[in-house]
Amino acid sequence: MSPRLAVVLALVLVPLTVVLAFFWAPTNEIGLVGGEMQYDFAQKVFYIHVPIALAAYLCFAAGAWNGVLYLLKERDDYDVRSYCGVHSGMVFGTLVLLTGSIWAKAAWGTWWQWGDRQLLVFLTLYLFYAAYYVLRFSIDAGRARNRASAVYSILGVALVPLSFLAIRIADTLIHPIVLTTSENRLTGPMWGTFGIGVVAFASLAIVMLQLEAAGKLRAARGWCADEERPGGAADVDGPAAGSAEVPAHA
Amino acid sequence: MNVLRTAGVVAAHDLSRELRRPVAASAVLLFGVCSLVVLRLALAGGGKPSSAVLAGALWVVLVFAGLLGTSRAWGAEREDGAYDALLVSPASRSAIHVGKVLAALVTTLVLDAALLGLYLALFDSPDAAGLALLAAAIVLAAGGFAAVGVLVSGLGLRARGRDLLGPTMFLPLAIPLVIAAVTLSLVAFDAGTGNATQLLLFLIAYDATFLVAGIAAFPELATD
Repeated sequence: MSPRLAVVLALVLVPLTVVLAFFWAPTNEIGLVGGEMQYDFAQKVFYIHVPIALAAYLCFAAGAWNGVLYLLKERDDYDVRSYCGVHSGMVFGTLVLLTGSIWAKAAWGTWWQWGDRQLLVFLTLYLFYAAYYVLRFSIDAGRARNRASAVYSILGVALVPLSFLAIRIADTLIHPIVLTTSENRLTGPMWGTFGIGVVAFASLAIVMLQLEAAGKLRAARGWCADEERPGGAADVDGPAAGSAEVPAHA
Repeated sequence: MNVLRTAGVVAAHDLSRELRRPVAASAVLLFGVCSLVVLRLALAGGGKPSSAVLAGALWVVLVFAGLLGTSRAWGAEREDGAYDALLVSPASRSAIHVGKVLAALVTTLVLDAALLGLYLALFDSPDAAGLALLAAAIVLAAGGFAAVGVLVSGLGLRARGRDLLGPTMFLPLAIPLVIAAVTLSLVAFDAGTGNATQLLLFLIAYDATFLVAGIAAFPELATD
């Protein structure tokens, strides 16, 4: 997807998803209580919560893919993109936990359900990727740091399916499973809103990832140019001009 | 020298060092014993604890013992400078990793066996079939702890504050294993409804995944 298209899609579709979720998609009926029909308004969060979760996985996958490319080609821009993938994934991950808590409060009456392993597994993934920062910034900038960061970002790819497999075969699932192959609980407008939401937040993820990576790479190039100016700080180990070596803060 | 032979040499070296001076293993064992005693005292009041509490108590101790025992797999080599010598040796780095995992597995199994014996003495014991299932869960979990612990230790080789970094990376990676092992333990105690065969297969898949991940990753991490 081109960067311009991603920007346009994100700007148009994210607000559209919110509008469609609250004003167009029908609300499931829960049942009659005291002669009045009760509606599942908590379901509205689904149209935002699940696409954000998918965007988080997209970012983590981008982080892992760029980690693989770094290990294969040893180009520092792949390291920056891998870092930005994990970073954007953490931003979306925070939103997943927040919207998930809102859903839990509306659906179950509590902000967090410790008995729900699916919530716990996402929290685990969140903590796993939080440890990425600890690992990355405890190693001096350079090849060793880039390689350790790349390997760690790839490990997440193994952890995600294993975590979900573990909760599937454990027996205390109470997290609502909306998408199943046995029973289709979504109607046409619901699918439409959900699909637009997925494209919207995926586009937003791509925009965030590309913007951050571009900014960091530009900063790195500027940093290299400063190092090369007469009178600039001499650093015999500094990167060559035009390379994408990352400054220590990246 | 082929891969298995190299792995055997590395494992034998680590185990013989641990036998000569069992500083780390004895510290982990003492930690596990103290933890079980503290848990027994903490759970003494208020009647008999439920099976879920008993299974949870066992796995809290085993996870932390596994963490302490395996995540410093490269500690000795880093401290005495032998790590750099290993890097310049012609031995396959994947084989070195497998050797480290083997040594960590043997150490963890011995420690877990001792801790399980004490656990059964302090708390209730399941019937013979349940005990066999519990033992299978512990053996497979020990494999997972060894594979993840050595991998995490390799990741932190060049890091500052390695001792703090290990648990930070180890615990999230161990969560799927803990979910399956605790569910299996509940089945062993006749308190759960999980499918034991599926859970055992999951633990095998977990061990294999992180063993292969470590074999693939360690050559990338062990750079000059």
